[in-house]
Amino acid sequence: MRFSYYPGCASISIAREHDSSSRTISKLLGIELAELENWNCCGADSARSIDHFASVLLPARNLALAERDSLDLLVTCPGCYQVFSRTQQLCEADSTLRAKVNASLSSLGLTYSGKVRARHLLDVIVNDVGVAKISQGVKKQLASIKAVPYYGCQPAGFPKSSRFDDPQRPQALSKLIAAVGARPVAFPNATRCCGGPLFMTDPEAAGSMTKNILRSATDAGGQCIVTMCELCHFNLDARQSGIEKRYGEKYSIAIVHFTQLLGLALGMDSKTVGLDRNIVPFNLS
Amino acid sequence: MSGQKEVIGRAMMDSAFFDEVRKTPGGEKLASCIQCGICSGSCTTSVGAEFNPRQVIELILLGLGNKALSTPSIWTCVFCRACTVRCPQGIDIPELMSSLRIMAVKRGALPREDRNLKFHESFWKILRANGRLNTFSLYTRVAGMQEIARTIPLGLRLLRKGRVAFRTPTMVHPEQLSSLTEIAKASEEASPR
Repeated sequence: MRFSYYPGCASISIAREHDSSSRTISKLLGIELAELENWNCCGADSARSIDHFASVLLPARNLALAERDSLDLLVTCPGCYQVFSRTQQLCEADSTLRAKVNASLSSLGLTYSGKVRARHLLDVIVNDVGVAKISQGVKKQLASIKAVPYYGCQPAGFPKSSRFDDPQRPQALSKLIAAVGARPVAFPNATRCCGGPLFMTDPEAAGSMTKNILRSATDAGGQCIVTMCELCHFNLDARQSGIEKRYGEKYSIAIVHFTQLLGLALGMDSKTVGLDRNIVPFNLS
Repeated sequence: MSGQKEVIGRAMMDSAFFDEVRKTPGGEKLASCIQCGICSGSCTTSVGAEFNPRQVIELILLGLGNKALSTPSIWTCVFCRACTVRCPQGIDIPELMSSLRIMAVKRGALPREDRNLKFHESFWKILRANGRLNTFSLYTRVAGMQEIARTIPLGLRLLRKGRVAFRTPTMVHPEQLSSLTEIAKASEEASPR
């Protein structure tokens, strides 16, 4: 399995431990990653709020770079993943738009035909590597840990064509948690927004969303929240003590990237999976 | 009540705004909206907002353009698509929200100091200058001095933990990206959708 790897902007700033743990577990599972050369920001929520065509063109440049290498683009951020999927879908549905995209990309010597696809790391691990292989590789039993699967708000936008997961009731994280021997907790808010994308623009509304996730995860008996999104992780982890103060509650719930949980189960130590960067400590005992 | 009727009545006479939105991405199927509200029931971020997604669409259907473009509610969307996967009419609401934002920015419907505008324009500027986003830089551009001062203790902790960085790797020759977006802009102006 070989992919072009797109780290995304969170992986070079607020979530470097997600980047390093993604690379380490990929290597261990036989997923070969070649970082996309000179990749650019996908544009996230902002490009599409300012300039429609540029918001299609920015992700298209990355897809075109991957296409030049004839490799599918492996993405770890669900936000980026949705942005790439949007560009794929818009260009598939509208040949005029695709022609315009290619006319612009030709100035960089690039072409985007739609040959290569964006894939999410969780999709590749659960569906390509497979949970059976994961279970076989488990070296450290995490059986006592009650883990809350938390997808964040983005799965509804994952493309139907990818068959990654059920957009309304995703299962991938629960499968992964079970595969490493931990106990997945039933969690009704698994796809509610954590407030992360809004914490700079509307801190009050964002804070209330963050509180809802933290409180309901704690109420559900979770000992940790397993995330698949870098922004969710940062928001729930780094802002947790502030939310506790603001609402006069105490959660002390560890937030773990799924790559960190998987790495631990596969026998890596906590430093290798970057747990030393987490703000709320994750105690395995 | 009669006052409200009068406002809506006058607005309905002007369908230019509705026609304009219909031509933008996400607006294609607007006329088929049955105002069922499943979008609002599915929305994960609009609970405390001035208008929920159904009401935003209602504003457009009624031709209340100024209100639809100036409400902060069009900026609470996080493009999760929970509304759209359930919409019985197949309306692409997140795409519609993007189109409304673009129209709002172009028409200057928001005050300069508007926080949403500041956030997305700062993001856009950093992206064009570096090719990639630096979260720290974005935060300092968007948050006020008082707010930054309040978050210094957390900021220091995050720095120690390596969770924020003043400098992050940028693209090599990020100017190729700004030239690409210039080309995009020019082609957009030459042949609007």
